[in-house]
Amino acid sequence: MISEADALAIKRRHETEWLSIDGVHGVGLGEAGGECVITVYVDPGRPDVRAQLPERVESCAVVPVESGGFEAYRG
Amino acid sequence: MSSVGGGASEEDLLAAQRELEAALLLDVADRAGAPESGTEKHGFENVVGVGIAEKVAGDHLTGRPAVTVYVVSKARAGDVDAEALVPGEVRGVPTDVVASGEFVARPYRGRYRPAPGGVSLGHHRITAGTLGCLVRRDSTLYVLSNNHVLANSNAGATGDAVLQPGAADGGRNPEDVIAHLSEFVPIEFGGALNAVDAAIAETSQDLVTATNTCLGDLGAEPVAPTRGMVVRKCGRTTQLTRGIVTDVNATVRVSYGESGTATFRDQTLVEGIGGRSFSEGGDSGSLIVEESGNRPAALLFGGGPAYTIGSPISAVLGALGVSIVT
Repeated sequence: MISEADALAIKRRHETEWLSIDGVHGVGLGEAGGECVITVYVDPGRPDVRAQLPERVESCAVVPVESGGFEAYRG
Repeated sequence: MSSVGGGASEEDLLAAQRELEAALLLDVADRAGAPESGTEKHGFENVVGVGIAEKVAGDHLTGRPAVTVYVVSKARAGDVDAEALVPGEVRGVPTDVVASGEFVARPYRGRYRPAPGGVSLGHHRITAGTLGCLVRRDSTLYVLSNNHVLANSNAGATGDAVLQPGAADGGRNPEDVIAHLSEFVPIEFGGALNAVDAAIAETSQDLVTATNTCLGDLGAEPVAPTRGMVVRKCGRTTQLTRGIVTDVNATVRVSYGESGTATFRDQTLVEGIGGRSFSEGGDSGSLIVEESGNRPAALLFGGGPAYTIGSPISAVLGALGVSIVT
């Protein structure tokens, strides 16, 4: 099992590269069954974006989530 | 006796409206609210209002007044309970049925004095956001919300008027001023990393209250959000909602429209519970609290179709050097 601190360090080593991909809006951290999961928030219906992401990085799984983009709310 | 439009007097119209109002709304309120109402056929639950308006035929106004029944959705006569059917005329006055949808109260967009957390407010040059909570530094009292709500996304200046309600909800300057901008954490657009979207505006004790309009009294101690935490928020647009924290380490790129795009690190993401969105536009600045205990956890500032974004409250309070007033 990986520590939270180690998982965060792995995420931070890679997030800048992934955030530069058109269609990627965020990178987060989760876990499944005690294993590290890096969540990549992407546009829905974009297999080309998914194709640019690895399935694993270091000891973490990389899981795309179709969140769509984020915006600061206006009234 | 005066006459309106196509012959019916005002008195006739009003009498007809009152008769249908009683038959479809007032005398049947209990039946409209019964769980079985509308399960087989449309019944009284489908009727949401009765008024007087110009009758519409096809897409055209006819110039003739009618007793107008507002319904959630229109249905064929065969799909409506016989008792809830709208007659073609009442007391000789024609009727009309309009699909208005459900009427929803928007209570937190009004003017409140003293103003609690959860209601509309904003810098005088923006539309409207939400008053998060009260904070204090030494003896000075402030309202806490987002930079983009209180400081117009870095464009505001110290002393600028903050209105309650916000301008989009009818707030006027200077009549509805509740605070003056004091400080904001600048939002860095482009590639720089941000931690919070937050600002404070100085207010006074007689204008505000520490209670939240739908959350009640806040927990005294902030709590760090954790994955799986069940949370609630009270906001100007979607009011009281429940959600679950899904991520507390998110680095997200957030659009500020014409101002540009800003990247935030270590943000909290919340997913609505029960298929309902946790927040929408106008909820910016809402305080996100842990459901059990009402302890403040994050300051909401944006989101997308699936997730709401909040900055951890400890980072917000630390950046502004303030503590929450309960």
